[in-house]
Amino acid sequence: MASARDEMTQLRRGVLEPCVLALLGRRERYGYELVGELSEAGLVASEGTVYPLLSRLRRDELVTTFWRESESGPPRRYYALTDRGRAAVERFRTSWVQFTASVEDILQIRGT
Amino acid sequence: MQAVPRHPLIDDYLDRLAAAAQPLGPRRAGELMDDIREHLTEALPGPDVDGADVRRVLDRLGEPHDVVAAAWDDDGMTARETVLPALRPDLSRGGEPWRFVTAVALLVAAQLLAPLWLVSVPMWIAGLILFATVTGWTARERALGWVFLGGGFPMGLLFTIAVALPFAMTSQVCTALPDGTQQCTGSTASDWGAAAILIVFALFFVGQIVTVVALVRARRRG
Repeated sequence: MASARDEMTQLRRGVLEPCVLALLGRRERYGYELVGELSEAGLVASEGTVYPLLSRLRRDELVTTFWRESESGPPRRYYALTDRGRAAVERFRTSWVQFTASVEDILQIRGT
Repeated sequence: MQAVPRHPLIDDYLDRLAAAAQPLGPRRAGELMDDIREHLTEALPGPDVDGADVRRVLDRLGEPHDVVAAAWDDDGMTARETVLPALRPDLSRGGEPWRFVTAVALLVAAQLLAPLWLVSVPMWIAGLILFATVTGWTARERALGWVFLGGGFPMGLLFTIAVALPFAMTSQVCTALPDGTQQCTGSTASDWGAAAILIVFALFFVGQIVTVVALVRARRRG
């Protein structure tokens, strides 16, 4: 049986990408801001590991990037969701509802 | 881009990240370095940074090899479950894994085939060249590699010569008996010589195993 930490790692791995896309779907964010929110939500153990994911999402054209001036320092690279990324989030939402319903049913989290 | 705050811990972290990211290729490694520099600039604003803050930010970022491993996993270029898990850290530190694995294979093969000059010498030279191109070790770790892996072929040759030598010299004392026969006492030098050679080569072999383990672990450290 995996430890609680391993279980969390596995769970995080599966949901990190859709959560990144969903956050960017609400509004565009710069890397540090996005990483901070994911970290606050307990979705990443190592903040640095989010950046390779962002690079891949950009290559897959699920997100796009642009530079914007910052009031407090140098220009920041912002990430925004593309139409393709928006469609991916919607697909995941549907799958997630079905998936969690099944798992909760089996784990008897909800009354049957 | 604003300069990343200067601090020995940050410099060390970025150095280790650069070494670990090398196998990703210049473009992707550069992207990752830029992202992490930007993160550090945001997380530690101002030219003067406090050591405790630096440690906290770097801890939250994660070890360089974990960050680079995420890039590999994310691309599906390799998975944690792939073969040779012990050598996987090689992916994240200094050079492609095939170089290290091939260098060790060539050097060990050259050692085993030492008497076959035409085969073993080119293998040895190729192994040494490959080993020299693998980066990411400290000078001490590299020196270990040169001695115990690079030295394998000369040791193989010495072993061949040693076992071929007739240990004729003895420490026996022989006395002629009145009946014309000889009586010898003491042990033959060959017994001691063979034992000494075996011990030396066994120790060298243990050194080789320790070296390979140390080099693999060193790369795991990132």
